[in-house]
Amino acid sequence: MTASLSIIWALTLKELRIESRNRDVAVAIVMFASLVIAIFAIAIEPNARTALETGPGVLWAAITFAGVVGMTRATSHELENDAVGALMLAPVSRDLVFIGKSLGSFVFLTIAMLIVFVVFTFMFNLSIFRAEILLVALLAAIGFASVGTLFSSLIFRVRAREVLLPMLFLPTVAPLLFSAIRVTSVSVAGDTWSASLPWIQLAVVYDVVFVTASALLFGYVLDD
Amino acid sequence: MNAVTKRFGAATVLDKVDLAVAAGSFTVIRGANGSGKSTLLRIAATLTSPSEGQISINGVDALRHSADARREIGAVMHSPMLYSDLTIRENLALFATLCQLEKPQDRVEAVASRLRLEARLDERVRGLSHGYRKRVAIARSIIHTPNLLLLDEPETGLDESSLEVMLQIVEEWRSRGRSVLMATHSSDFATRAPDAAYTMTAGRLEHFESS
Repeated sequence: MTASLSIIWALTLKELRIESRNRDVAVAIVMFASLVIAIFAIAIEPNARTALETGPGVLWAAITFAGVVGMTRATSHELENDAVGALMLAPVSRDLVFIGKSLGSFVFLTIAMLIVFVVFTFMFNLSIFRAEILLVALLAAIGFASVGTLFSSLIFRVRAREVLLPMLFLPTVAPLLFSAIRVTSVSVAGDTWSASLPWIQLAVVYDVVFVTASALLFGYVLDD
Repeated sequence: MNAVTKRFGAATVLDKVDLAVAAGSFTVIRGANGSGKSTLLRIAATLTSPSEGQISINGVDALRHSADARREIGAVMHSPMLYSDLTIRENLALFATLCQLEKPQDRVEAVASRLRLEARLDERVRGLSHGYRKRVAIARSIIHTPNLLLLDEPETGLDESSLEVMLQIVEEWRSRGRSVLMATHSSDFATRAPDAAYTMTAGRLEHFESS
């Protein structure tokens, strides 16, 4: 158990170290999402009513599309010098490699989401720093990171990977996206926790199923 | 390796290859570009799955227990397989940690010294020449003292002194009862007293000579 944790930590640390030196994944996510939110804010000119109606959808669509951009950037580190080969040569289970890489992506996504939340609050004048929204954001980050790690590994060696990644990723994370939008909508509308609960439960079930499936499939997709 | 076949679509890259590498031996496979040498080594390194056949490394079934098999393997492939934004030390320490070695930093220092990399340990890989990257890849391949060293055209990009270091490592591996399997298209390398030599032509392996 301790050995597994030290391996996971080493892999996560590797992801964080590379990102801290480039900052291209987190910066790509924050910049892209902020631009999308800004464009919609300028186009909609949100007032109290339209902000409630359109804001949650704009926020999560921006985060999801920005997540794809970030994952494409993260993949490029693994492809340079065929660096991912070092992980494949290591005498460790592919599951641990998956957990370590997903954990790294989860950290970038969570940090980027918090910054995007601030931008959104400013642009749409909606307070989204509420417990249920932060919880669903955490669940969304877990799901996005695990599914994104699986799909970006699947298309490592495909020439049109920038096109393929969103085509695979976006339909797969749709249930998570819907639940995040719904929780945000009911929460900013002033509804109680009980209105958010079914959507949070959906996100939990999604994470359990897709994190498990992604971990099981990762070993196969990493092979040539 | 027993009857190992690899197909990519309709193309058969390896055709029922049988190969046994004895403990303490230096085995060389020669062949032209595209003959299937690299695919054979990638399969031996568990980087690629064969379409058919069995692989056993030091008694471990490499297809069913690939992580255990990789503990027995060190590999230097065509590309250096290094993270450009990490330093040499960080790349080696990462691999040493993944191998669950005790005192990984000590092992990093030891292999860096062996490959004459001590002075550049804290430099990022991005700034290194091709030859230096190859040296780091060799250092990584021996950091966990594997029983089988797989070398895919290791001479590419290495200067004379680095080549000599690499040949010393090959000799050390052989003398300690460990094995080396090298693929090369250099006839010069193939004549450096291997215990067994094969030629690979269009995915078929033929015994070439034995000392």
